[in-house]
Parts: sequence; structure tokens; C-alpha cells
Amino acid sequence: MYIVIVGGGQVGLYLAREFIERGHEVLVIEEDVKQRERLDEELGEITLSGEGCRIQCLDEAGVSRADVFVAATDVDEDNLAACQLAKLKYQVPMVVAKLNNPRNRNIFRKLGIESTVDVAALILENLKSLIPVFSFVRLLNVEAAEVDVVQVRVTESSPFADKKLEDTGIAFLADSAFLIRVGSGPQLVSGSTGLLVGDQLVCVLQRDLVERLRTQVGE
Amino acid sequence: MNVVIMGSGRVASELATLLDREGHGVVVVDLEPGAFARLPDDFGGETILGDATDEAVLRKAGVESADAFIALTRDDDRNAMAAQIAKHIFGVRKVICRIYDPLREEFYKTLGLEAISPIMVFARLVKGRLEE
Repeated sequence: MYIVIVGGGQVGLYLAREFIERGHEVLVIEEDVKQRERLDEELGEITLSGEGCRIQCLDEAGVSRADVFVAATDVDEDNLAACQLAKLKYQVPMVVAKLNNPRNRNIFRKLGIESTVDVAALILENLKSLIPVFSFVRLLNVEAAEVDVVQVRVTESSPFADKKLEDTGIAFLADSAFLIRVGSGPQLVSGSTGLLVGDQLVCVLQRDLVERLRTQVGE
Repeated sequence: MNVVIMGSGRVASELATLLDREGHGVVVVDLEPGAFARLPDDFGGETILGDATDEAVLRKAGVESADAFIALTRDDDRNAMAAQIAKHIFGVRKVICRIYDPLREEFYKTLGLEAISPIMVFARLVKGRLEE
């Protein structure tokens, strides 16, 4: 596949490396000469000097034959402009944007860029998953399918502590969530599974069920 | 007519002043507090410090009841984003944005925006004068 990445910062660099390791053709568009030197030094001549929201630059990059286009600069307006050009002018089949400001998620979607990665939200949720205070964490969004991967932690104040799953408001997780308990491997929960403080449940749910779960957890 | 103007540079301030003197309701939004200094002392419109690509700021500027939104910052990408939010999310009837880059002016026109490239306008103007 031919992958064009706009922005040669950390995300651009690691992404380019991963694609190259899998044998794909990669081009990184980057304005800053130092960033370009760093990328070219490590990954071979893979950069193009320019701005990813400029038509001359995208023409030169051959974006019309790209299979994947990723806008990964630190500026959301630039990422939006680049993605709209890639999708609408060059008809790239897969266009993905890095979102720096969570408030822009809906804006991007309404303006036709559905595949976004909300960096701030990802960091926040991952931090929350590590800190026992938080009983409900959205680990991952599978945007295209309207599905989330969610983690529920049974805390001291949890309404589920020391109860069987079937006696709680989250009985609908039976046979679909995995129980993670210190000292034993993950196992599928059933209605009769007893929940203890410190247990974690990880499940893949449609959005409407995610909201139901959140309400039950009390967050 | 109620008009929201994004940016308070030279062109934006001139436009805001002209519209204000004709009795229109004008709200100017800019990120830099110093930028409003270009507006005359007797400017009767409103100024809002904030980012006009932010829906909350646009609401505060009254975009929901605005008749027109005009994006005049020096940044093409910001102008295009704010203009699309005004048009497609808030449904403002008349949306105009400045796009310096003539190639992208064409692209944004295909997206339904009224984009104006000052470079093209000026080039055509000068060419017209030459041919007079």
C-alpha cells in the first residue's frame, strides 16, 4: 500500500516506521527541516518538504494514488484541511485525522472526516484505567461500528461489590464481559459469577449499552 | 443584518467599521486581545476574545441568529474550518471566507463555501487597469 502521512512529529515517525516494517511505501510531508532530517536519517529518504494542506504539495506527493492518508500534525485546522483535500479532491479511500482538541471530534464528523483519533481522550482514558479511583473507563472506540471497549472496576463503593452478577443492574454483561482478577487469567463472566472489590470487567459493547452501563456504574 | 466576523486584522476591522456605521449588528471574534485596537473608538459592535473554530465561542458570538459569517484571519485553514462550521453546523445563510491560496479557493468553492482569494482579486484588478 501507499501511505501518505502529514506531519513528521512523534506520531508520524512511529507510524511511518510501523508501515515500513510491514513493507509498505510511505511518504511523510513535513515543513520543518530538522524533523525531515531526523526521519530521513532513520527511515531512508521518505520525506517531502511542504505543507499537507497545499494542493501543489499533495500533487507532488502523488496523493491521488494513495491507499491511506493520515493527517497527524499538532494543528486540527490543518489536519481537517488536509483530510478534506485527500478525501474529496484526491479520492483517497482511507483518510484518518489525529485530533488534538477533543471538542473537534463532532465537527470533523459533521464535515465528513469520520475516522479520527482523539489523542487527549486516549491519554485520559488510559490514565484512568491505571488509577483505581475510576470505576468506568472507555478504553477504545471502534468508530465505524459504533462500538466501545469498556472497563468497569468494582470499587469499595461499587453497587456490585460482593454480589452475583445476575443480582446487579449489569446482569446484561453475562456471557459477554471478561472478568480480570489478580492472580487468575481472564474468564468469561456468567450470571452466577460473584464480584469482588478489585475485580475488573472488560467488555465490547454497542454505544447504547455503554451508556446503560455507565449509568449503572454511577459515573 | 447581524454579522459575525472572525479576525480583527486590517480588512476585518475596516469591514466591521463599515457595517457598524450602516447600522448593522456586528460581532468581531479574535484570539488576540490587542487586535481589537484597530476598531475605532466609536465602534458600536461587540468584540469577543476567543477561537471562532470553537462551537461554544461561535454560539457566544450569536452565530445561531446571524445572517452572515465572514472568516478573515490570515490562516486559510482556520478560515475554512470556521466557515464550514458556520455554514454546515449552524446553518448561517451567507458565509464568506478569505482563502489566500488561489488553488484552494477553487476547492472550497466546490465544498459550497464562498471563498475569496485576495491574491486573485488583486491580480485581476491590476490586469483590468492595464487593459483600460
